[in-house]
Amino acid sequence: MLLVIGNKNYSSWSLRSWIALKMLGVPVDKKRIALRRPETKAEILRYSSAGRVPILRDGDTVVWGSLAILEYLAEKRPQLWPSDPAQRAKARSVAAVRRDPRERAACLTTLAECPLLARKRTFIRSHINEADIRYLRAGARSRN
Amino acid sequence: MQIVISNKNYSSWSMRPWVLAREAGILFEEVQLKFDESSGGLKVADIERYGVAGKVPVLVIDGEPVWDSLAICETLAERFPEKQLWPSDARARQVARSICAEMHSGFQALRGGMPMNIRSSHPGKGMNANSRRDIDRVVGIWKSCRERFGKGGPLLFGRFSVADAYFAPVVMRFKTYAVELPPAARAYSDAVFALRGVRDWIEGALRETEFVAEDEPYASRHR
Repeated sequence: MLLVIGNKNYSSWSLRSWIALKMLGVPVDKKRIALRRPETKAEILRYSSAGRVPILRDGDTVVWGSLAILEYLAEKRPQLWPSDPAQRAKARSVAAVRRDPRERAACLTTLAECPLLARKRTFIRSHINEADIRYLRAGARSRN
Repeated sequence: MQIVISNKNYSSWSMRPWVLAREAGILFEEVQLKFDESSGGLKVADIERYGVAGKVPVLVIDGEPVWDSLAICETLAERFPEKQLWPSDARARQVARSICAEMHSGFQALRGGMPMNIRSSHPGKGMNANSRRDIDRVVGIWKSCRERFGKGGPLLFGRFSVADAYFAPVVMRFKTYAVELPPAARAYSDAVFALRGVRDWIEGALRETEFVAEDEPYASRHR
């Protein structure tokens, strides 16, 4: 099994898959691709046409997107989700919420508007990713 | 079991689980909470009742709210295994999950520039280099899925799956903004439009009279 991730410092999406594998104790090779460099896109495309990390390769199977990777791992190791169906549904809701760029943008806006938190730049930085920046720059309106 | 949705004309996230359940023949009660018109489509009235996320869609199952469209689709797939909402072939299933995850977190230019608006027609609006890139990626995903897994029917994985429900709002956008598509993508779009669940959703959307003034200034009421 091979997990393709971005920089450990920046790539929060990669971190999620990495933690899940770590917690499960699944042996996995890791390929780290430095983000935001001229060669980044081409390197990622070697592993998945989606052009985004994280990517998990298991034999012939290629899974991309941290939520898809979690579900793939959970099929093999069901203990990854809570065993109670209602709790499992809730866990899935929570895991998914932070993926929604609009909600992330709303979170970031809240953080930025709060003077106390705004000073904690490192904290905010650890919660931001490229998609957020693109989203905020695009100034897209937040609507379902 | 309830599915809480917002305006059928606009709410692409609501459309996904609703179409999934309807097309699969899963019985549910629809609860519609419409956009607060004065908020420019930003707020859904009364949604706070259904949990912390404060967003549609919400699935209420065994009295508990499940939010986020992907979490809802996974939950429905799990609770109704006989409906085979994900492809049964393992490799196809992982691709289906991956493209849904990609839709879930990507395609910002397409979503921002070409918001879902079923009743309207805005040829060419929102087209730029970024939305073009998103459109090309969508068309590429469809082509690859149809070629690799689409033998058993006209949909992405042959028969209906979560992936088709997930891409249905994109099909709606391509029509509204008159995006030109290669023949295979056009054929797939037609197959999505032919789905009973999609037709029912569109019918509901066309009956709605609310509008978001920002998207449809020509329809603005003079206040």
